[in-house]
Amino acid sequence: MVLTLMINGDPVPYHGDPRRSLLEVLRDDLHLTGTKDVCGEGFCGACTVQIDGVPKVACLLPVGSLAGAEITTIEGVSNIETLNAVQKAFLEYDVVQCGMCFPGMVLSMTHFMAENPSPTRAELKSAMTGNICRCTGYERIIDALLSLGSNGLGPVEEVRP
Amino acid sequence: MMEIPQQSLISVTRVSQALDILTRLGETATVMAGGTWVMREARERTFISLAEIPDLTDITLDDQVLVVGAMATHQDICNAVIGAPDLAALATAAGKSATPAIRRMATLGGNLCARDFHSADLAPALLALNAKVTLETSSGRETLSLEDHLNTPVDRPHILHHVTVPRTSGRSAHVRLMQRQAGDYPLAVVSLSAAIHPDGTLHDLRIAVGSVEKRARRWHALEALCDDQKMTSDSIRAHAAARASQDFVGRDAVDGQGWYRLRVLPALVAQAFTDISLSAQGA
Amino acid sequence: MTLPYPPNTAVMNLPRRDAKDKLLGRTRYTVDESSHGMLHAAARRSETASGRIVKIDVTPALSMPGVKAIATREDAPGLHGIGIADHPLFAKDVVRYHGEPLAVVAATTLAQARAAAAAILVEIDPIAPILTMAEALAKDAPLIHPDWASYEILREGAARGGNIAWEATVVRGDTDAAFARDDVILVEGTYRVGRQSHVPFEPRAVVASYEDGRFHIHTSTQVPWTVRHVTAKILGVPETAIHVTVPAVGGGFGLKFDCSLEPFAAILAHKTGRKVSLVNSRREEQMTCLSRENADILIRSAVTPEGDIVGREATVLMDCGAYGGEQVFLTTMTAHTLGGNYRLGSVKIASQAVYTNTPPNGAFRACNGVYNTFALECHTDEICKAIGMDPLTFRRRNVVGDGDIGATGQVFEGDVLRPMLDLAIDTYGPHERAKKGPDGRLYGRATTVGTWFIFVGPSSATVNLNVDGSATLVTSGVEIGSGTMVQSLPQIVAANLGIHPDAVIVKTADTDASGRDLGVGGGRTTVSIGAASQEACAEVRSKLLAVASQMLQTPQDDLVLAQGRVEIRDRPGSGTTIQTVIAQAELEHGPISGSGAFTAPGIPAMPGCAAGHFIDAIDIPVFAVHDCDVAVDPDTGKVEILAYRVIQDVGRALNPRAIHGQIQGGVTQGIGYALHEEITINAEGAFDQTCFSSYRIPTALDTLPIDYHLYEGAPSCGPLGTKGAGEVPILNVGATIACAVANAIGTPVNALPLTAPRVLGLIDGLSLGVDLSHLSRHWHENTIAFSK
Repeated sequence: MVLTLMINGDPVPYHGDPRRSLLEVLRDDLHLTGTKDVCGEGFCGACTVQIDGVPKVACLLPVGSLAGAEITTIEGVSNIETLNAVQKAFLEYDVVQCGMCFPGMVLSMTHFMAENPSPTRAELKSAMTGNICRCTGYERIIDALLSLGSNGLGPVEEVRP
Repeated sequence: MMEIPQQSLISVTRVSQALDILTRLGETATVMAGGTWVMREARERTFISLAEIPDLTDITLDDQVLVVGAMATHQDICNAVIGAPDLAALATAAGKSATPAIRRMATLGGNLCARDFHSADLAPALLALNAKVTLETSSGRETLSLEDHLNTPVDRPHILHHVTVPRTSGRSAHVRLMQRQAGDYPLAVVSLSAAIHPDGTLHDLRIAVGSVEKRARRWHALEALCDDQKMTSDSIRAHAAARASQDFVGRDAVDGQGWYRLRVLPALVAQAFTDISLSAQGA
Repeated sequence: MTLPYPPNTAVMNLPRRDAKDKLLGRTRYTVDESSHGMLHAAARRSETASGRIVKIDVTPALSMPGVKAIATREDAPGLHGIGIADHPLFAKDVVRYHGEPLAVVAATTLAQARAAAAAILVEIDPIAPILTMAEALAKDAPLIHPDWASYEILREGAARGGNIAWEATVVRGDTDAAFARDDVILVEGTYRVGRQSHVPFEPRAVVASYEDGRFHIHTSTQVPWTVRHVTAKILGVPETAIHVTVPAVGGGFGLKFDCSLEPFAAILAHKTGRKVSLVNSRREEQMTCLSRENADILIRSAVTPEGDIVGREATVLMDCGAYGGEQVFLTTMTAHTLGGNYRLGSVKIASQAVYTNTPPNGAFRACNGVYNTFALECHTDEICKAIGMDPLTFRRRNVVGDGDIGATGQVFEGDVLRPMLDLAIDTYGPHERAKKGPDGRLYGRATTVGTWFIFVGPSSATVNLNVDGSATLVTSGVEIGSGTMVQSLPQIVAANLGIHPDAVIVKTADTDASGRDLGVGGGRTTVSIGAASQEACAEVRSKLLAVASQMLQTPQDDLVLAQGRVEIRDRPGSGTTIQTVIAQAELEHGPISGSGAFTAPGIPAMPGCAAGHFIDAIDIPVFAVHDCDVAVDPDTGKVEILAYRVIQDVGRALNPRAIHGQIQGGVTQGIGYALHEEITINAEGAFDQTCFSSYRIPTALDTLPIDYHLYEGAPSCGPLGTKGAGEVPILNVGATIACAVANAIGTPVNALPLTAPRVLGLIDGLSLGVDLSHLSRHWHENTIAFSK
């Protein structure tokens, strides 16, 4: 079975078992290691990618179901020169600690902020329940996001692959 | 007879194809809806993906009825029914389950059909809403109450096609108790639906309990005590407290002990009642 | 010691330089390493908690697809450990815990390695496992280490025996007399806590190769030098044969404060001649976590009606699991924590590390300080109820201050806890401890104090001054997420050299490049590595200023380094650029560098007090005051934290924003410990909680913004008077929440975690107490050293 995966705008041929997770294929076959393998059961969100612009967990997505889908990973969210608004806010507020949860956090919260330009603190926390962080205790990440959108620095744009 | 493709993930375009393959491959295959269950629990089986079957994600809502296709995601369901006061239990069940990403992936069909998943949210909510399920089997379509379906052992290949929920002028609520504030499988779930008449009496009361046992089911004994009665949150709580350990056997599992699931039931029932009362008052 | 630069030049909220790559997903942690030809390893682990190994036959696995090598007990002769060498790499003749490694396989793919590992034939004759400390301490209990007496002793002075791996005791004064007084009230409490799992997002992982006769180990660790030492010991090779490098680490919290997977990968790299990667699956990581230990605590106090603690006796049983490990060392910390906080007229404390057939435990952020503080503060509130004294008044009266003697007889310097407590009282207002809310919930509030320590010990640093005016700092420090390596350390070096921290290159840990270091953890990085760095800078300054002095015809003492220049004091613009001086120095002497070192100054304890201790007295104590409001739902037992406040003793805050991050994160981790993170061990000796869905760590909705105040000025021998800030935020959280819940529900709390079912059980009166009948009220009976 030959499958073509569209990853960050690039067509990638895939010949293996279609039940392998997108996470495994990204990390092991394509060496796109920005998407992290942490819990393997969809609870922690560290493997969050966007499928047709919608954040989903790559560990539970069989690649065989992704023909024709636009897959965006952290490597495709922005480039090294221009971080997106969420990444910039995280940088400005100096919220990163060990860093393992942040790619997933960026993918999830970029989508959320694009759809919800003026969230309340409570709405942000609810949106973040699928992105677990063991280091930061969350609140400073929330502070950084509250500085965005209609609350502050301008709208967050949709991720475009 | 169609040849089964030599692949470990077969994407079908018709329900009849899925049934055919399922029948012939038996235990070596599994239906895959959103994938959130089978990717964790059944990775070694052949996946029969329903994702390309048209119409299975359809949701239609009118004054009479809600129809939800089996491949509709939790998020889709929540978006469709939020704001409908009689369907509030379903909005909560679909909108508060799991995590945001899982809600975008997990489906109605998966939530109802993964029989080893004991903490499913949609089942008790749909039981309380008097839902019917329509199945495709090799002998054709069958429609039966969700309650009958859940009480029937799975003994032949079938694909859940859609679920039908009648609209009412009543109110519903869904209360799910977790240890944390989010992210847990609920330890106990109560879904409740009723019409509250101006004289304060309850009518068409339906109460369903989930996660306390391995399968969600209706609390008929409590319904019998409270239906057509004038209830308060205290009186319904008292009835629930008197009945809980007679009507249910709490399951012990890694996430929690049975005694606790039973112990909290009266409070959850009281909360659900309070929620529908507030809703009926237009709060 | 006066600093040669104004201390404020080292203080700034320097943003961390590694954040951008982490946000882009570009950072390469050990788990992200891959290279052409790299092999993947998988372990075969025991599924029996206790048994005699009849056979391990790797033959079927050797011929499976992709398999290149298999390592077993034959390949690893050495025993290692802390205090005693009791721990083999692979199970040797017996298995002692569920998950103990039996073999590791290296293959072309991970799937192949796992399949082969599963195919190894294992036959174990099961022995009834000893799963609790009560069973382990029972009379005639079978021995988990029958050869305990023959183990190599790595540190002398402790009593050991039976299933007791290590015993530490403290005896100061006459507690028998104190308890016999007719004017005292006796208060007793028993407490039990469960384990806590670190859950670093990057699991333990290593990539090893064997080249030029040496083992090159690239690993996710907090302790490169421990990895070097232990790997050499286990493999039976000289330490010079081991080279350890460490990239960015995706979380540690103490789990990685030990050598763990590295020797397995090293052996396979040697056998195959290839690079080998070994990464714990999440399930393995959870099931073999070197957890914060479960413990049983008994504490008795004799208190006068005026509120003086004239006598205190306590026994703590610490479950070390199948092998002694960190718990052997941590028996030392009982005296400084359970025996801490307050002035004690007389004290006896015994702490035993007890073997059980369960996964070995380890170090986790403030270790046993966390549960000792919980037990002590709950006990303190119970004392207050017994004598009818307000808990804040009692604490104010009794917290240790300047000149007071600690449990082991050390003399404390400075009044720190009392002013911190006063600050809390002034800032956070009056104290209604318990009330019922209009929503039907039970509200409670509590304030607790805590004592912890900075884990000082050997560190070294080299600073190379570069011709472009930048400096390179070479240490064995590792960045595990707290930011020290990229913030406070370059801040210190920069202030010493008068350059900007961005001009300080920080070399990642490499045991071939830097000198020995105890490791990152225990709040020690800023203090110990900072002090070593500061000393290295002093040498650099002295060499640089000697040359500058000649060039500027000015005595060295009149020269300052600032803004990238060497200036004559009080005459800005008078000097020259640092590059100019460096160029001249290189002409005359060669490139400039300096080296520095730091170790424990060695505060004295009272002689004869402590036995079996690794640290008799705390060199740098760290104090904390926490305060919180909770609401308890009496229908479900769920606890909501409404407000949480921290006053933390930081000495000097070098990067206040970074400390805020540690407080917010550490308290959140503590909330998990206090309320949600439960580990239960089943009849197979395995953890029931094996994954994120069953082990509940806090989500964004489970925490709240922590109100905090950084208390500065307490005495500290750390550089610029700083103390480590990363560990201590978690210390008091279990205690504070437990005391607040106890106030809310009107029932004493004696166990953690306070899960909703446990709280509901307390409210319902179901849990009548913790059965610690294996602990005697007669203190000496709980010891080896003092029992008659």
